[in-house]
Amino acid sequence: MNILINILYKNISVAETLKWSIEFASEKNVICEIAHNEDAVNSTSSLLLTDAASFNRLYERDKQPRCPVILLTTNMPDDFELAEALYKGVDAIADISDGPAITLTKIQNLLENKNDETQQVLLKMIQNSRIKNNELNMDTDYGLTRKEKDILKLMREANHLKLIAKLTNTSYETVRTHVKNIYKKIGVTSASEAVIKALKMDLK
Amino acid sequence: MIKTGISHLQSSDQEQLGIAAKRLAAAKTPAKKIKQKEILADLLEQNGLHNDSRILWNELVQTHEDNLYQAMCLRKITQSFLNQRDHESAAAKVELALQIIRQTPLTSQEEKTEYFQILNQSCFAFYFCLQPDKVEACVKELRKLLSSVNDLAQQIDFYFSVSLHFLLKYRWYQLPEEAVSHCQFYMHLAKQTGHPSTIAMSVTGCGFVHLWREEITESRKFFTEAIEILEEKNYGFLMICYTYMGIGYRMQNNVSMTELWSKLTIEKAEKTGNKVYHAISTANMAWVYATRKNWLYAEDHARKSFDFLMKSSVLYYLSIFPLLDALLQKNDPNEAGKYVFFLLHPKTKKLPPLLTENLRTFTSAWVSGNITDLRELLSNIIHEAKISGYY
Repeated sequence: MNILINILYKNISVAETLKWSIEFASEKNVICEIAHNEDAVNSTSSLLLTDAASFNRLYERDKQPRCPVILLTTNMPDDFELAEALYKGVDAIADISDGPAITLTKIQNLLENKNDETQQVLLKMIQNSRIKNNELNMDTDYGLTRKEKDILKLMREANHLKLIAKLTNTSYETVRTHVKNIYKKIGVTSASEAVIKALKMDLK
Repeated sequence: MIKTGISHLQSSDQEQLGIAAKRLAAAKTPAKKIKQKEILADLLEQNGLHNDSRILWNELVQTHEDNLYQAMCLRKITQSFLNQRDHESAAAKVELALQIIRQTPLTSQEEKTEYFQILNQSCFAFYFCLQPDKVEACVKELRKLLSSVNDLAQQIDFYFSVSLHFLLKYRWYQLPEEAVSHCQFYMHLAKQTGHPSTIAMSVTGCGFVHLWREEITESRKFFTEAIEILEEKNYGFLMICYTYMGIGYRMQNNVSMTELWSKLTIEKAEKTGNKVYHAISTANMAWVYATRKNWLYAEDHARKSFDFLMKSSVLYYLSIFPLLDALLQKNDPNEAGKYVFFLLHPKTKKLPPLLTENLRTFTSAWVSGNITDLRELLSNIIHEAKISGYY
C-alpha cells in the first residue's frame, strides 16, 4: 500500500529538504509531495506535514485535512498561530530546528499509531498564559450556555476541538459552531484569546 | 518459460540453459520436475536472468508444504533480489523466509544451517535498507547458532554480517576497537579459503573499519592489498577500493592523489556503468576543484554527484561540503540551508560532534528564518569541516 505524505510549508526550501529526508529513509511505497499552497494539498494524503500558519489557513478556507497532521515548529514559534493550530487538533508536533530526526520519528510513530504529546504542549502554553495573566477573576459569564461553558472549560484544560467532540459526545462541526458562538459572546477571535479570558472566568 | 530472453548471453551459456529447459520438459515424475526446475532456476540466476529465476522459485515454493523447503526457496528469491540490488524487495522476502524457518523446530543440522544462511542474508538486506535494529537482532541470533556451524564459508558470512552491524550501528564513524579485532579475524578466516575475491572482500572490510576510525594510512594498506589480490580482474570490486583510496586521500587533504584515484574510478565506472562509484568520485572531483578555487567546476560536479547520491548513498556528505563552499563564495547561504539540514539526517554517515554542532546552529537559524547570521554560520561549518577532514 502506498503512503502519500504531503508537505505544506511556508518556506519551499525547508519543504524540499524534508522531502529528501523522508524519501532517503523510507521504503519505495512512501511518496512525498510538496504542496505549494493550501489549494494544492492532496485530499488522498496519508499524512500532512505543515506549519501552524498554513494549517490555520486551511481551516479558515474550510479545507481541514482528513488525514493525520504533524505540525512542524521551530525553536522560535509564533505562540498565537501554534495555539490556534493545537486547538484545531493536530496529531503530533515536530521541532525541525535540529534537522529532520524528530520529524522522521514522529512520522514513524504516527504510522504505528503511537500517541504524541500535543496536549502537554498546549497545557504548558496555558500555564504560561496563567502566569502572564494573573489578574483577578471576572464575575461575568457573558451569557454562556451550560454547553458553551463546558466546552470552554475543556479548552482551558488543553483539550483540542476534536477531543472535545469526543469527550462531549458531540460532532466536530457542532463543537465548532459552539466555539464560534463563544467567541462572539466573550468578544474574542481566536482560541488562545478565548482560553486566556477563560482562565479568569468562573466556569462552574 | 524464459521471459526475459537469452539472446544477449554467450552461446555456451545459452546452450546450457537450453539443455536445462529440455530436461525440465522431459522430466516425468514430480520429484524429477522439481529437481530440474531448481537446476534451471539456479542457472538463470547465474546468468543474470533474475526475474525468470524468481518465477521458478516462486512456483517451487508452492509445490511444497514443508517449511524448511519453502524457507530455502524464499532464500533463493531473496538472493536474486540482492544480486539485482533491489534491497527493499530482498528485505521483504527475507522477513518472510525468517518467519517460515522459525516455524520449524530448528533442531536438525539442516534447519539450523538454513536459518543461519537466512540470518546472514537478512543482515545484508537490512544493512542496505538502513535498519540497524533488525541487523542487530539477526547478529544476536547468529551468535547463538555460530557454535553449531562448521562450514568455513558460513563462518566467514557471519563475520561479514558482524562487520556490517558495526558499520551501521556506529553510522560509519569512530568504530570501536572491537570492530578492528572482528575484521582481523574475518580476514584470517577468509585467507584460509584461498579464494581471491573472498580474501579481497575481507581485506577491504578491514580497510573500511580503519578508514571510518580515521586511521587513513592503515586503511590504505588494506585497500592496496585488496587491489593487488584482485589483479584487475574484478572491476566492480576494484572500483570500491579505488573510490575509498580517493576518500582517504581527500580526508588527508592530498589534492593530487585524490584527483588521481577519483579519475581512475570514474574511468572504470564509465566502462561498467556503475553509477554510485561514479557519483562518489565526481564528488571527490568537486572537492579537488573547490580546493583549487575553481568554483564553477566545483559546484557543477557537486550538484551532479549530489543528485544521484542523495537517493542512494549515506556518503552524500562528500558532495555537500564542496557545494556549501561554492554557495558561500556565491554569497548564497540561504540555499545552503537545505543541504545543511539534510546532513543532519539520522540515518546517514555520522559527522564529528563539533561539526554537527555547527550544522545544528546553522539549521536552527535557517528554519526560523533568521538569515542575518547565516553567512557567518556557514563559514563556521566550512572551517570546522576543513579542520576535521570532512570537507
